Amino acid sequence: MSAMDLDQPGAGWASGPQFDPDLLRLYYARLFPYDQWCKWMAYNSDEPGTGSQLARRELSLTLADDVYIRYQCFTNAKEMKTLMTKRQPHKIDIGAVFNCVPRDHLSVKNFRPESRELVFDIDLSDYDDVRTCCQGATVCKKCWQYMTCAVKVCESALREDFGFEHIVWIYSGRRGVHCWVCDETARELTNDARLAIIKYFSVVSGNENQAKKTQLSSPLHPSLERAYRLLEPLFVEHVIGENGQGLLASSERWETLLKTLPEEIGGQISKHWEKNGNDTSPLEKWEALKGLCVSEKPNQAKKQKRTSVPELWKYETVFSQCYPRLDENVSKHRNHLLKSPFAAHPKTGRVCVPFDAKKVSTFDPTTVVTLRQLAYELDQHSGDDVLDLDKTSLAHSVRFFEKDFLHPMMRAWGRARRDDAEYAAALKGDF
Amino acid sequence: MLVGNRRSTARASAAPSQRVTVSLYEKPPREEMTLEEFEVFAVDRLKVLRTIDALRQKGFKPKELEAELAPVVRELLPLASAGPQAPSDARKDSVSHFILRLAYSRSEELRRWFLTQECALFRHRLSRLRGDGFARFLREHGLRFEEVPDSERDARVTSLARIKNYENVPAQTATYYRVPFLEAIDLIGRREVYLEKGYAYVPQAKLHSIVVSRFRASLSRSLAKASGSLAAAAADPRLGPLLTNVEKHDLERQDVDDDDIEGITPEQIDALADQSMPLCMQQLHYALKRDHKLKHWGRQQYGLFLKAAGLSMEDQLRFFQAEFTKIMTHDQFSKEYAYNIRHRYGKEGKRTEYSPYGCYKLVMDMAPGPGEYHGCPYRHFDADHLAAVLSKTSLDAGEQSLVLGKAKERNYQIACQRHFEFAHKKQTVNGKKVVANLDGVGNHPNAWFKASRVYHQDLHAAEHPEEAKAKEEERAKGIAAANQSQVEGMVLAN
Repeated sequence: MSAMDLDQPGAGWASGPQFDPDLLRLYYARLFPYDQWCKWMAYNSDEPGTGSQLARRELSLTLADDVYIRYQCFTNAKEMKTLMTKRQPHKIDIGAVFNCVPRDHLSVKNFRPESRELVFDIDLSDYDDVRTCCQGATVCKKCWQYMTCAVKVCESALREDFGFEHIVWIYSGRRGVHCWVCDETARELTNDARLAIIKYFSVVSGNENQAKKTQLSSPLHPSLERAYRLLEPLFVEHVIGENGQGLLASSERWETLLKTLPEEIGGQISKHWEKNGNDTSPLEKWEALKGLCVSEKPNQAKKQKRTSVPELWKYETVFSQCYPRLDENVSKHRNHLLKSPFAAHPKTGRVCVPFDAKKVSTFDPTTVVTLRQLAYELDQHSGDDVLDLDKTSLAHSVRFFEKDFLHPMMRAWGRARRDDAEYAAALKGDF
Repeated sequence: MLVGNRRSTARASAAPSQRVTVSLYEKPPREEMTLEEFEVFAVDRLKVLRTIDALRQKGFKPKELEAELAPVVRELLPLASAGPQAPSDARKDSVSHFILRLAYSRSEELRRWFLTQECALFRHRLSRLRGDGFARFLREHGLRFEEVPDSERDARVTSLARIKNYENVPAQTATYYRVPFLEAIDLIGRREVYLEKGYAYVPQAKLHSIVVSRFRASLSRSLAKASGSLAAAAADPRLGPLLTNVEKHDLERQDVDDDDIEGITPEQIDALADQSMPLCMQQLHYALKRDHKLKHWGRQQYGLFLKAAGLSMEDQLRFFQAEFTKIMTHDQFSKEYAYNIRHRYGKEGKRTEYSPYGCYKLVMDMAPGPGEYHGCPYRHFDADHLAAVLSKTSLDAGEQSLVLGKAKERNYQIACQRHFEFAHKKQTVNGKKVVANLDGVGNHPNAWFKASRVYHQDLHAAEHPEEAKAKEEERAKGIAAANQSQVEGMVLAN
């Protein structure tokens, strides 16, 4: 939490631990949105009791003393509440929907995951080589803009390319975001298909032992071309300037960038900027560099090659800075665990709240509601005659979750069901 | 196996000169054959599949793979579309497929391997169909795809034109097919298809890939089914041994047995890392020493390796704990990491005995991400980093560049093997020849490790003959004593 919050009038919750067993107990007893959670995970399944999607879903809980308990399950919101209030989990992870009730995992032959949302996990710590404001687990509004980049690109590809509609974005409680794609097609994807989708998305590769950061070829795939159109303005706004990451704002930073140009050209520019660097703004510098890029002609003379910059350079630069970096392991397998929405992060006490992808750039991870704040708000409105939830700032997140994600999905289920019924009726000939 | 392949006879009579020979293997052959033929067919097909596997491991692109594979297929699994050979070619193809399908249905891992190679072979064959062969193949198998009307194609022509790789037909005039994206998974993974609202727009030249994905889906289902009948077939005294042997011909993933070498202790590991570990494990060891932690797959790769190298569970717990607790509390370690180590030894969870990862897995499946050091350095490091790492080994400059060259040619496992050979040269010490045994080196990190340890033990023995002699005597004495006590025991028992 930043020092600013402490100065806010009325922030009586700001001091003291934001997460502790008492706060957790209060949260599970009075605020956790069990109904909405279960409505979501039931996926409108008709099968009663233990056959439903909800009942076959694995939950893995991490208890107070870091004891893991896997294969927890329940058939409705009431049972979920009983489980949570009994176990008081510090972490709640969601696994796959299995072919039987997960509790029976030892006794059932052929126990296997059957479906699971397509999930993405994007963590700011994976941007440590490009962000200058924070490192590791810390986050600020500046580097949050990498999440803006990631969300915009993923959203556009998921919706426009793959045609997915039921997507919800969740703040992961500390330094990143999770994306849950809940369309039926997405939930049924095989591991192979998940791997292919991940490959379709990934552009930035490499690590400590692989220098090359992006591998692009010309012409850019339509989805990457669109990503560039989305990212370049964000790159200009948040990466190159002094108020952003400062990539083109100081000689020490731009030198590293110039090294990625063909040697001769990079050297010339470096000399030029050494003298006149302060005369131009970061944006002007970027425009100048972009201006050097020319598309490669098949018969280009060798000499020309040495003195020109390949067109791909500008794409590589923008992508290696701000193209989404997905944690691939999380997305590749059906039975990978991922932290549940509305769980609280034990290190920060912040609730993993859903947020509006369209407003991601104004989302402020440093002011997300904490368990202590929720307790404080409940206290402040203890006499009010409204639902506990509505006394707190969590209400806004839950309502958003319902309005923007859950209800549209439920309406789509209704439509699908009507279509099926009509189709069946048409087959029988009785409209 | 019983009576006649009716399908192919029917087809042959319908079009005697031009048969569609590529099969989807929908019906098993029913005919009689000799056991010898059974084995020859199976082994020939296996050779083809293993060639494919080797080429893929080297990272050959589909086009390159095709050129390398063609002569092998022509020799071992030809498919003449006309002439006197045609029926017997088709028979061998079908029979050998079904034998291996059965033999490889045994485990998830084998099924996956078989599926991958068969799909590659299928793809290869489709790509070799000439003229209207592919169109006839589609017709014959009743495969239909929705053609994109010209007006819809023209509306997307700028996007479509951005997809490279479709054989010189401009987007304006090419024929496209619209399929649900799930059918175009391979193309999506390589970003070789245009996607819109859940549909893939597949140019005609890439339709192969869609057919392959249907083939894959149906073969995958069939393999699951086959695993149900394997037990019955393997119980047949004539077929059982053949089926089991066929599968053993494969994978070079022999589990390394470590009976004739002692286990290791945490105290030895530092020295052994320098002396006897292949590059992949050295990288993990050094990273662990430097950062005092490893990410999940690194712990998995290194932990299983150490387990197979003879480190007991208690020792492994001690070993990792000593490093990890330099940056965390003991409590934290035992809560977050100890479970995993016990799991590795089959003491937690589903209590599976996990085997150490072989080179195949490290090369194909274990690409490291940021902050990760697992995988195969020859495969996953770029040339500069690999050169830097090699320069710190005992190899001289010439040897280093040779190893680097092999890695560049994408012969990762050979690069590793060369590294081993250079580091473990034949030599004569005190009149004794010390030679390393190369069995499995370059196929499994544990084989590398074991061969290196044996080599160094032999070297040590040759350098210190008196010590070796003493040891030998002691052992002999021990055996004698054991025999003695055994005799006594028998006497007592009587």
